[in-house]
Amino acid sequence: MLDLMQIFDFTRSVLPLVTLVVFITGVMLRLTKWASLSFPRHDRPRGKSNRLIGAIKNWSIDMIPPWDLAGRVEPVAYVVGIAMHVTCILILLGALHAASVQNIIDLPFTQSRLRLPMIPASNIPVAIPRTLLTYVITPIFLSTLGILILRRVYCNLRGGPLKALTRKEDWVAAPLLWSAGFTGFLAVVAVEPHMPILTLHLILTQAFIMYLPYSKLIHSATVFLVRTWSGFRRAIYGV
Amino acid sequence: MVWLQKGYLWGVTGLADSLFLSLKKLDGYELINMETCTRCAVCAHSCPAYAVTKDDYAVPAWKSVEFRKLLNRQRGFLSAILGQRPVPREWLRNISTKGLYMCTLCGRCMPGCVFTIQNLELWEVLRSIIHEEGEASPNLLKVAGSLEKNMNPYDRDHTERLSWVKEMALKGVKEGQRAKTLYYVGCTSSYQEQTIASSTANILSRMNEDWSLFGKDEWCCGDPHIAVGDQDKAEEFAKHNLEVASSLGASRIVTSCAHCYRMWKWKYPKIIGRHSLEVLHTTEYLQECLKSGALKLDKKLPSRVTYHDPCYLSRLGGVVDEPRNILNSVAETIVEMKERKFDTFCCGGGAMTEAADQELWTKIGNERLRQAEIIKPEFMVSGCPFCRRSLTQAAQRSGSQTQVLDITELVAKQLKD
Repeated sequence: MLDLMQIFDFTRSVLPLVTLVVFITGVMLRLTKWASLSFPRHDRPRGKSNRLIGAIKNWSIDMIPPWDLAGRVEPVAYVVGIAMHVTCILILLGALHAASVQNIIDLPFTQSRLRLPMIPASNIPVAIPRTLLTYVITPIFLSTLGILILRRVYCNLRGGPLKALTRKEDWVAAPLLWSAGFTGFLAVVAVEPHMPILTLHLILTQAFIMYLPYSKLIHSATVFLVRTWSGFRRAIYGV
Repeated sequence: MVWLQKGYLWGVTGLADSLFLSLKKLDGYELINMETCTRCAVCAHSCPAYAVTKDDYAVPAWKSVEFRKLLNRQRGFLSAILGQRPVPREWLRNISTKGLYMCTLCGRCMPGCVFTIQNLELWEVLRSIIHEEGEASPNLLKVAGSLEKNMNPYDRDHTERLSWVKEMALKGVKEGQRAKTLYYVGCTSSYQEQTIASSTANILSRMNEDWSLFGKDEWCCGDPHIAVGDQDKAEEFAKHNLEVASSLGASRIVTSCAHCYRMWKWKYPKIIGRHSLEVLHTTEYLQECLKSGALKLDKKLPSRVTYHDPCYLSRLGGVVDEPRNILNSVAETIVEMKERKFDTFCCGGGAMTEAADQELWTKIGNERLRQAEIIKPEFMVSGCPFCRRSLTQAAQRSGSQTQVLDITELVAKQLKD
């Protein structure tokens, strides 16, 4: 029987390697899929405005989805959706996670680090300061994502466009992200017993990372391309 | 390896009803756009077809979901490892009969998408795949038949294309002669909304423009082919039209149709390569004349006028200010609808919807007229014969007092003697 400490060690030693392999395989398969199609350079007439300006505009003032189109119909989903994405990015960019990623990246190359506990670690404070990130941003993220999951459940019971669009995958991606976030929150606020929750958080987080390139979560990467291209297009067409 | 590539490893049965799709029309940009969709259904709220039908299959993302399902049979993760799987024909039929043609290709779902996914090209590619596999809408196939036979989508003889010149008793109109400016009339103005053609011809003559019609060599611009899904034919027609324009030594094309404008200006370069012709919509041309002082107008009409932006001219063409500038010189009171400029609401006329799904065409036309009537205009002016037709019919059906006109008609009426 594995005891908790062994599982905890596994989540910081072997599992990150598995995660990395599965993640990279997913990325490679995705890139192969894209590369199997052509990326033609279309001849277009001279654009009405500069493409770069179009892209910048699309990444700044046009970033917020138009209220007139979506907001007036589903204001709650609109505000909640934006809040969820903003807080998610803030959490992922939080110091703790930046350091975790650093550790994962270093793992295969630096054996000495293999045994360095990620959390709590010598270079990372054991107890994260009870900051804005913990007590404001994370609860907002969890509640907004929770609302979006409940919205999908509600719409699936009631019927409507969201029901017609829902696929099995939708019941995995968002709940997985929410679970990873929730266990992370509990681990940070040090709910006792601390270790099982932290272990669960590490497992869920790595499951999320493994799942990312195979699922609709890939939009977290493709959005950079799509928004830039649509910015180019809008500049060319002058719209 | 053939057996692997063809998916025999999957133990696929019923191959007679399954097929491998040709994906040559789909490019990587479109695939990445498609894979960015998270099925949030926000696009439903911007779609005119969904707004009037409340049919879940009209939701733009439904097409994207179904397209991805098709694609994953041949380009999915499992196919990358175990080989491609054929697509059941039933799936194609499902897309064709349910939601594919419940769309006017107006592109309103693009700004309505939180990621600004460029859906329009995707729908065009999906239409071409469905057409290639023989599952296109029978109504649209009739349109394709007419295009093949008559070079227009309205099943009218090609020889009647210039009948409006005689019917309107226009004098001094050159047909198929060398000129600096060519007026590309388009099928809808040639056969159905002929007052637009005659008004434009009048304006061009009054501006002392060195201009000519394409004459009997004018073919459809190819936009209906894209609605049908026959991109090869669109290319053939584009090449023909461009050859005619070159042979007539023109340096610019003026058109009064938003669909033709988009084809000439934005699609032809993509389909057949960049051309040197300057392409102007009549509103752009009129603004040019207004600025140069060539366009002299009578006293402003003491009327309330609203402008309906054609999707293909505004959101898909980038022309929104020019028509407003002209209207400001023509009418005293310009009132704006809530859904305007790049957020314009479709009239229902795009993608040959009148032929493909008359009920949808009627409903969207009615809805657009209802939106206009909120601001109580006397004239509802547009810049596209499809819009004029859809909205005129809607006004007639409802007995509306709002008069629907094309901007060229209004300007032609107001030309100073």
